[in-house]
Amino acid sequence: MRWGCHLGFVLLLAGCASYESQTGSFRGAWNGGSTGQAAQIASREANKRSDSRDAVVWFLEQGAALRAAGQFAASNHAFEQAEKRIAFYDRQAKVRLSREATGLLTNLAALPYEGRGYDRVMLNTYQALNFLQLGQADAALVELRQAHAEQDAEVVRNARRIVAARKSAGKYERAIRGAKLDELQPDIALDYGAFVNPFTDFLHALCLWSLADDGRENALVSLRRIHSTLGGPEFLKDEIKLVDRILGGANHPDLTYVIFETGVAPIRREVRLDVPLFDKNVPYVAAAFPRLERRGRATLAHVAIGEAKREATLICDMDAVIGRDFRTELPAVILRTLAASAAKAAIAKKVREEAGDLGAIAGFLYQAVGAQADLRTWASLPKAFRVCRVETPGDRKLTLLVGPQKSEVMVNTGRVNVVCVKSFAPGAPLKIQQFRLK
Amino acid sequence: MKPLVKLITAAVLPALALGCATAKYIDHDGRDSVVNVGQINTQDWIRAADELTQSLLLSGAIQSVAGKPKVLMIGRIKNNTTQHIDTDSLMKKIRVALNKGGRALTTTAVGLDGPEDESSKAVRELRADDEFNQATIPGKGNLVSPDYSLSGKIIQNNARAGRIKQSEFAFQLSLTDLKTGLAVWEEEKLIVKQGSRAAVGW
Repeated sequence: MRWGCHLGFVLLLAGCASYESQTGSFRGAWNGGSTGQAAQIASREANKRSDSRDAVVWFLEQGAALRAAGQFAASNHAFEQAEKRIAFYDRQAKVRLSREATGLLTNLAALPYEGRGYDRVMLNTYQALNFLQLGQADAALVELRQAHAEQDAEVVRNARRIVAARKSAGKYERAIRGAKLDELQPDIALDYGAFVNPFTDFLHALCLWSLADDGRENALVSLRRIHSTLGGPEFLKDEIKLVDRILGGANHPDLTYVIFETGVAPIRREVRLDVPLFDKNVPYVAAAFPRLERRGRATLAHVAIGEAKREATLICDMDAVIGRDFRTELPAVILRTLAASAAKAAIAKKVREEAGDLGAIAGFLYQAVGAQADLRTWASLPKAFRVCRVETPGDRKLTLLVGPQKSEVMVNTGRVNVVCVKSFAPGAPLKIQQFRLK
Repeated sequence: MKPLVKLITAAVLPALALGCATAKYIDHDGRDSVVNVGQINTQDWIRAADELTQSLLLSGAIQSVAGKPKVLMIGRIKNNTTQHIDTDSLMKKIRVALNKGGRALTTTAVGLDGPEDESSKAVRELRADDEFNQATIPGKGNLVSPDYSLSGKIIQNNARAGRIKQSEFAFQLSLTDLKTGLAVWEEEKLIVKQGSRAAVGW
């Protein structure tokens, strides 16, 4: 009886719909470019789940969707909610007994989503873009400084996780090899190393030299860092030269930076595997693991002025950023998932021995429902950030091309302008927003 | 140990490592200050600023004439390190020392990227505004042009041998006489820090 009550409680905790199914309609609207509808769905879900373990990820989706829908102040409010929640989790001790126990008796999806490192950086980056859109330059710089601090913190966290991952992967190499868990590793075409998000650094650099009252020299530090991380693209080499001249007091022509956010970030799918534990009581366990799945292909983007066409440079491959995060986290996920599956198998065995057939059914249900991978991930992030800088033409007219899609924009007056272009799935309309930096 | 027990122990063990957060006040340049090999810490700024100021004052490059301090503008301070830094941490300390010593005053009305403080300009834009008593608005020709400009560069060099990491920060400053364009004082201060790479654990 006692076992039955405990199992019932745990089943309640573990048996909720996966994030993948929760976000089905949201992702449908988002991928089709229906930003208004996506914002509505995300807002409804975020309100419904504001006190739940999924609150952070839903606030992030809400913030991104409202931003794309042009509701910048509301978007920042959603991001602030996510930020507060993340800060709340950060204030708690790094390892919580209750958290670990919950994870052990249920699954990792039953634990609160506390925001991954790249979520935190992107959250501040989008807030900064929103503030720039709202004409609040100082607030934007605050957000970019926060993003910079988060990047630095994440570089340290990443290094720590990589070392820990190597250690734990070594310990359970036999189990991991036996179950072919290596297949869960995502392919990463580009590897930025421990570095987190070059786009955030690029935006920070742009705002520093064009907006900031002080610390403008730091723009060059960021640009040099991205230049070396990305393997020295010509565009960044030019950008460093240009900014160096400007900081030395040289005049510059009217400039327009076009930021392309293309495609959609990878999501997580569940893979169920039988893993041998080489234990006589629990010889093997059935466990559910997350696997990263890319969506769509990389799309090139161009800016055309009359007949002249210039290709935008890839500044940040979000597939790589998310893939790197997933890869460094994976050994710990495997370890904790195996521990949870083993604990559940041991409990189910005990129940079967004590309560006979009824216990066997309850134990089976407990194991089946409890085996759920954590599939939560910020799904409305883009696949890539590309940037192109052009001298603003006299007629201020730019043609923007993303794959087969084409759109025209009349750039605002100003010394330095930014045009943000967001593309979704092929065929969905481009979303264009712009603001003046200087 | 059985693999199953080992697995569960490995997953739960970190929970035993619960820690308590603490906070305390410390001397900003004392022994308890945090020292990072790859970064410029507070005590480094203080040391560099003190030594550069001493060098500048002893050089006699800036001499007040008949008790009238010279006027200084802040030029470009290049950041050639790998980190975002606030160069004001250095420049402000030097400015304060020169100001207190009566040798020089810094103009905030002129700067390479425009004035540090826009107020001098803003108040002059009230000249055509009838709402303001025009007698209280500064007349033309009152702003003082600088005699000198202070510019410089902060450079970082890293070296590593096995687990030992070394960072060298060079603080270079030049004082230019704006009448002649000649650098009348130049100085470089080095801060070298060494430490072993931390073993990162779980």
